Amino acid sequence: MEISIEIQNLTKYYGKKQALSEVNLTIPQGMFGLLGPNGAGKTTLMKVLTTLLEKTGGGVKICGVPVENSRQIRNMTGYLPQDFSMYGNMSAYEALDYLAVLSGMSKSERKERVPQMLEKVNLLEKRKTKVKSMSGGMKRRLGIAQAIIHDPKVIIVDEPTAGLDPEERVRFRNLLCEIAKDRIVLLSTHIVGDIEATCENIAVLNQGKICFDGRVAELLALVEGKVYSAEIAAVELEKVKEKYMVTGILTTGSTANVKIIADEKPFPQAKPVQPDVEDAYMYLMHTE
Amino acid sequence: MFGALFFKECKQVLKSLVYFIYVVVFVLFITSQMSGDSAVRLQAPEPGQSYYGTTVAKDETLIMEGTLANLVEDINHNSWVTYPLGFYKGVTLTDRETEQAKAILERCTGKPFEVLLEEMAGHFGQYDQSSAEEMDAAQANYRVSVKEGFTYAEFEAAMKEICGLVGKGSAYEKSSYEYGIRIPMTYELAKEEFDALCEKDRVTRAYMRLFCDYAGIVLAILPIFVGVSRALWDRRAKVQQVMFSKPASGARIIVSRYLANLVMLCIPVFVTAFLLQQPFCYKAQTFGIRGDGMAFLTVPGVWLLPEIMVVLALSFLITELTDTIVAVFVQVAWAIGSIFGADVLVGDFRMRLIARWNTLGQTTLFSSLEKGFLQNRAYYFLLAVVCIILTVIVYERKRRKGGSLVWKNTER
Repeated sequence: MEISIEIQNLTKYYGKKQALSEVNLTIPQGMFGLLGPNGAGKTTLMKVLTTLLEKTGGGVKICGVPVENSRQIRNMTGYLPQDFSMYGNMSAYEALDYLAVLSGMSKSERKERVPQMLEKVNLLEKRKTKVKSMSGGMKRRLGIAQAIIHDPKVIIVDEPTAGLDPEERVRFRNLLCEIAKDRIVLLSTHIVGDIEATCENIAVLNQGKICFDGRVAELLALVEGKVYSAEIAAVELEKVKEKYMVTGILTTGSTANVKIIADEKPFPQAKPVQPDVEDAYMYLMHTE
Repeated sequence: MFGALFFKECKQVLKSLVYFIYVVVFVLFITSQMSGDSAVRLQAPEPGQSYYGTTVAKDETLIMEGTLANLVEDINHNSWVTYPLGFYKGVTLTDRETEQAKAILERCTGKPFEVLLEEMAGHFGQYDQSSAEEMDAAQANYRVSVKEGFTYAEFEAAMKEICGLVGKGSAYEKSSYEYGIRIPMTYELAKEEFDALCEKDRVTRAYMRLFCDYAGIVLAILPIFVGVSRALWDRRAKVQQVMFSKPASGARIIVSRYLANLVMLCIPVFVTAFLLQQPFCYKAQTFGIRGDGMAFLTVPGVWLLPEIMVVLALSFLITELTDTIVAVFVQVAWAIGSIFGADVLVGDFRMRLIARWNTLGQTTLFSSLEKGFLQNRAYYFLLAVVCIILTVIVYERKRRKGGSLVWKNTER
């Protein structure tokens, strides 16, 4: 069975408001990043894929199974929602065991898998810690453990690193990369750094529409030769911001080092620099 | 999977503060209501006693005489107790309405009100006012005879007129006077009742009916809080999304959760019933019979289980449907309506949520009403099943609508 997600002309309305418009996307095995600003429709797309929302139109197939077969889809997907939590009075072990029961696992399977998963997410030593006493990072790791406990083919994670400190964020990204070896991990985020560090394939969603779908290198190619760095007087900063798309500012005393996206060299002292995903994303958002 | 989920849910209930409060309130209420010396006071009737208690009148003449006696007292005090919509309401008639009530009374008895008052004073004067037992006997024996040739149909029409004056829910409703007029028992009747209590009820079953009467009051309300709390728990703990994404069916989740709560709610009921019935098992032995040791399970099982089931199921349904605590207000109002809406405290089953039997014994009366009682309980049992099926449907619907039945335009 081919591990992929096929989305064709997917449309979703909330009443009269359109949240997704004719979304077409093919997600292959491995880490896949879904990038977009807040309110772009990422969570709606995640929820349609996890059967938590009914689509209005179009078609979605996960590993060849139409999303309407909710039972089958739930068996082959693991979902980490944006604001994952569990009953505060449960310990990490109890919470994972409870969710493993809901995933249809037998007692013997749970006895084997629950400690394994806790170990994988580095929570085995904290197995007795109550959920209410856990830090944000610990909760997310528990969230990942519950999403993979039944060994699904597809894992969908919604804004998993929001609110985490830098160290936790790096640890969490690495964890996602580890589990993406033989399955799809669909990572939805508005944090460009997460995508840059983990994904080879990405899609950018804006106002319910896919405005980019391809490899990271292809996204970078969009701004190749259009990113410049220049040192300007700090007083000129406002003028420059008005005229150009500024993606970085480093002010030192009376001067400021700015990173600018422009089709042509903005001023003589500007030097072309290597673009990063954030530059490409900003370019895409402003040209849309 | 179902069993594992059930036990995990039971464990969750055990950890809940609401459940702990439920157990404490239930046990305190029951132990404060159930008189500890009931077993001691239960004695075989002996010939020559001045008072053998009362029983519900079934004879039409006795019903008319007892009701008219109540009417004389109510007109005299001009203080009428009614329970419209199940809530207490004191009624005072205007002078004109009082005159109308007196005219109705005179039509039924053929005597002016003043004469009836004198007869009442004469009757109560025969008893020792300082003795509670004597006063009970005086009240039970007080009768006002009807006019010669006055039929039961005419009496019913007259009582309808009284209801028109005082409003709904008074003691002059047909359902009320036909089960609410009590007459003193003779030795023979008391003996017959006692024998039935020993043979049919084997003592403990009769006591368990009294237990169910009190427990039924509090169980119409307390499980609401447990049910609402559990149904709102997922939303409060923000676990809805992750639960919805799991392969377990809505039926499995809701039914296991419901049964776990039901079992946990029943445990203190049966344990308390078991402990309270022990003196009556011993008492039965003193009467030379073996008490029904399983009465603590069988009687509350039929009497209270459907009530707990429907209260819990409805709280699940309303809360799942609204995601609010509105079920608390709706169901507490229903329970209070049922408590105060009972026309009599013994045997007013009809479609009442709370089946009242505020007496120890009256086995023959219960036997005559048992069919209606069982129909009542079967109705609530089925209603509970329907509510749970609807809860599963609502849960599955919410699952496909992102957790709410109402569209949120802001969700992206």
